[in-house]
Amino acid sequence: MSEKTPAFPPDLRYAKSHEWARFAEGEVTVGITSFAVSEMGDIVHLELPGPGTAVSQGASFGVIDSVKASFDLYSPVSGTITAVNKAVENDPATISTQPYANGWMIRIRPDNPGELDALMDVAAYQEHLAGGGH
Amino acid sequence: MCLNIGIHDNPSRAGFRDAKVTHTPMADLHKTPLNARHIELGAKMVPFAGWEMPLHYGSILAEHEMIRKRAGIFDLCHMTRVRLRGDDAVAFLDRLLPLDMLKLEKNRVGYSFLCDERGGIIDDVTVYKADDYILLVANGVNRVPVLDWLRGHVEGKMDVEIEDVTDSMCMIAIQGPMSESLFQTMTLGDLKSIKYYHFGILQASGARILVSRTGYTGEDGFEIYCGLMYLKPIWEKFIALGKAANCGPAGLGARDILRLEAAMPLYGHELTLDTTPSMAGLDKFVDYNKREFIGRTSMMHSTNSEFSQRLICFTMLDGSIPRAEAPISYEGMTIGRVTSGGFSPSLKVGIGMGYVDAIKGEPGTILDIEIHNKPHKAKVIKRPFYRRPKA
Repeated sequence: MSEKTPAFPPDLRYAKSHEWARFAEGEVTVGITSFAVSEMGDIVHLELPGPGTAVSQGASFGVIDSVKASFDLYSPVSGTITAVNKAVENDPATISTQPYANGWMIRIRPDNPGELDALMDVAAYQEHLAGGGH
Repeated sequence: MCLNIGIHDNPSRAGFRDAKVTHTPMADLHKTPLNARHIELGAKMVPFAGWEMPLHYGSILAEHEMIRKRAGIFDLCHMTRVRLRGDDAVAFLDRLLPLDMLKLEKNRVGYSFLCDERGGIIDDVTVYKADDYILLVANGVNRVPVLDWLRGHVEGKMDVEIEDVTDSMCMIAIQGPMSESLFQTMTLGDLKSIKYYHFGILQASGARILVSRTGYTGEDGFEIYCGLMYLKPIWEKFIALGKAANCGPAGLGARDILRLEAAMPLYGHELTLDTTPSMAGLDKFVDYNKREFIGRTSMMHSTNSEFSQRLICFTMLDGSIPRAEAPISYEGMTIGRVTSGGFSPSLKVGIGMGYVDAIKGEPGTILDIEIHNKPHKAKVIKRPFYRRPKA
């Protein structure tokens, strides 16, 4: 992976744990940020739950593996999974190249969209990264 | 996700919120003479064994492929190097190692262990028998315990001088099927004359260097020892020569996967004070019938003792990837733990090693590996995972 300055779309909400959330048409799409991608290195495995699974804000909903290590993925909101991106599960390398587009992982019908307010906007997330991102 | 990425000297899971990963602050770490060069080459630097070392120079997968298919160069200056001299140096080491130091020929390298009285492994080492000294190469993480152990066993009238030459004698490795052809172009002296686990003194970049046909990747290759002033010229020469052949530097990330595929043990994971060479399946490196050596008595009676577990190799039967510390179970009963695990780019599947109760370690046995709180099926295989194609 080449060193690139991570870019962060302004229309997303961000979790401290480096997941992003996009709220549109009553659903929250979830992925991981370009910062997470560049820190992890080569992504080789992704394990996601099926549609209909209930998730809670801040709780693990899946697992992502880079060559070197394994990471829990944390849900940015509570709700029910409505869609899973099978294409990235089959080819998780897509997440490295397109973390905000084809690299999305799950869609959630949120129990309470107000939970999104607990997440960071792009400026706050960049400040979080400036502090080390941990 | 919590991004605590690095290589761990001891088994621990990286990147979990609740993981207590303690790192030495980067500023307190030793730096090899090539440190600035690694950063120029785009390396991601991580703490390892008290040193700041390159994890990768862009992609662990690409570096893995480079070593398996072509060749690459590793900075190994973090390894511990000890020179032993004196009339009693051979006898001194013979008493500490399960390797017959009297039979080890000049210009040969032996693989052995420093074990305590219980047979527990203090470190695994390579031993080079030269004309007027012995070079002992130990793991970076064990610099202090190894030197303490050696010095603690010198008795009154012994003529043995133990010198830590880690900082003055540098170490790099060139590994991969193209190692010989590439390295030959920058070396005076015939590399073909150096057979597996042999070494010779050659010339490169105007320096006398010690070159052994050894490594930690499962590929053909060399480990190279030289004086501090020659390290950078040799490194740069390889980088320059390698460019045309798409060969370059490789980091610890690739090294860890390469050695795992070759089922080579790593200290702190497969080898610890609570494991013996026999448990790790390394009996062939123990000469039980030579003279007495430290740990021998205990090792000979280890089958019915606290050291009854055996190291196994397993491949996952689904897409999951095992990691160190994961529990291993058989028919619902926990029988051991994973010591090393990862994704094998050569096999395209998750692989691992771990200790289990001996009876469940037969190849073909189906076990469950607990990954993120869920059991995943794995099959015990005969080691190694990867064997290089015959030349």
